[in-house]
Amino acid sequence: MDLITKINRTRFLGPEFLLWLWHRSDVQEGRFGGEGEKFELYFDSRIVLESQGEIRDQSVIKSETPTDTPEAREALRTGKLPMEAKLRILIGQNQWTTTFKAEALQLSGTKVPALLAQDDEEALHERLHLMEELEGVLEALYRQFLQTRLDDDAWREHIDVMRSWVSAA
Amino acid sequence: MPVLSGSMSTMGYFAQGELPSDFKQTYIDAMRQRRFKDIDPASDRDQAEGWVTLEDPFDTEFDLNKVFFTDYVVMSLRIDRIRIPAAVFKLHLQKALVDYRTEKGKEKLSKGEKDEVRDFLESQLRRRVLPSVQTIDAAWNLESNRVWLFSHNKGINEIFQQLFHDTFGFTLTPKNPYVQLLHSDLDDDARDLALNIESAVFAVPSDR
Repeated sequence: MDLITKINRTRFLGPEFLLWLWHRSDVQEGRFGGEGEKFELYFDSRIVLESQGEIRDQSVIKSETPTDTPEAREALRTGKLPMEAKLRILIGQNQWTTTFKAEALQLSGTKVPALLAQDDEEALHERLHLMEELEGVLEALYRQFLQTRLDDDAWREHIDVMRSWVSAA
Repeated sequence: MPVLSGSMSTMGYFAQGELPSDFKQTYIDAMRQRRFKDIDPASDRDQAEGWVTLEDPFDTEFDLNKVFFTDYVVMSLRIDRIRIPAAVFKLHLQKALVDYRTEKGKEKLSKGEKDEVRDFLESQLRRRVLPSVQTIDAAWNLESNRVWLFSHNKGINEIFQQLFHDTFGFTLTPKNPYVQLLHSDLDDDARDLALNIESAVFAVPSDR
């Protein structure tokens, strides 16, 4: 199997990861305090959900807390998955906002915390470091998701919990 | 510029390759070779691309202080394009064809003559059009071999990947669920399983 085929074959893991993250953020009320974690992560102001069949029907929901809206929960119940979401992440006093594009695991419109640096050179280094910190958080979460998703027993148990959450919403 | 201020849209890449032993000077030389050069209006090229320094789109005098910041290599990709607006070109072409017919005393022009007028007009107008200038920042962490290009535009990313490879000898692979999985320290079984599972269904009918 060539790389392009492998990439296409596993693209669905991105939206599944975003849904897993939504579920975790929802049940933990945004607070992530597991092993190696000490941050808050919220879904903020905009989410895009899409049906998974041939016809890609899209729901774009804008609200202060879009994942709490009846429209978002209804979209989940009809089989749509989150393709893009604006996330707000807090580590201590530092806040990042970013739009996470699930199928590509890429970020856009990222705002990093206010800088302490006084000159351009320091500011450049600080901004790059803050971007790396944000990516580090998301990559660690993706790895956690994969550990569950790629373990048959763990996933069987977890998907039942997620299905109940989707249908109860 | 996004890398220094404002919000950032990043295309994240994993870079794969070998650093040359004297990589700093080697890369400065390589960037000089592939520096941005203006479009020659006399040529038929309508686009030019190349590296400029991060802080100045007109600066192609690379040195260690402008390119290497702690663990990072920083640079901007500059792309200039000459575009004659289609509506403006059409107006000028109509006039040029009328003038040509009058000059030659002809009722009708052949296809070859029309093409000749069109080509000549295009070459004249190209000299009067200022190219559009676009600069896109990029940063490469030499420790982690992560690269960011601060644009999601597909065409710009393709130009960047090629120029990056030609300059530094590293191949860039964009992040995506599979490539990230390969960099997630999972065992081979998990990697193989990822290629053999189907997408999950989360919404189940309420009567189940």
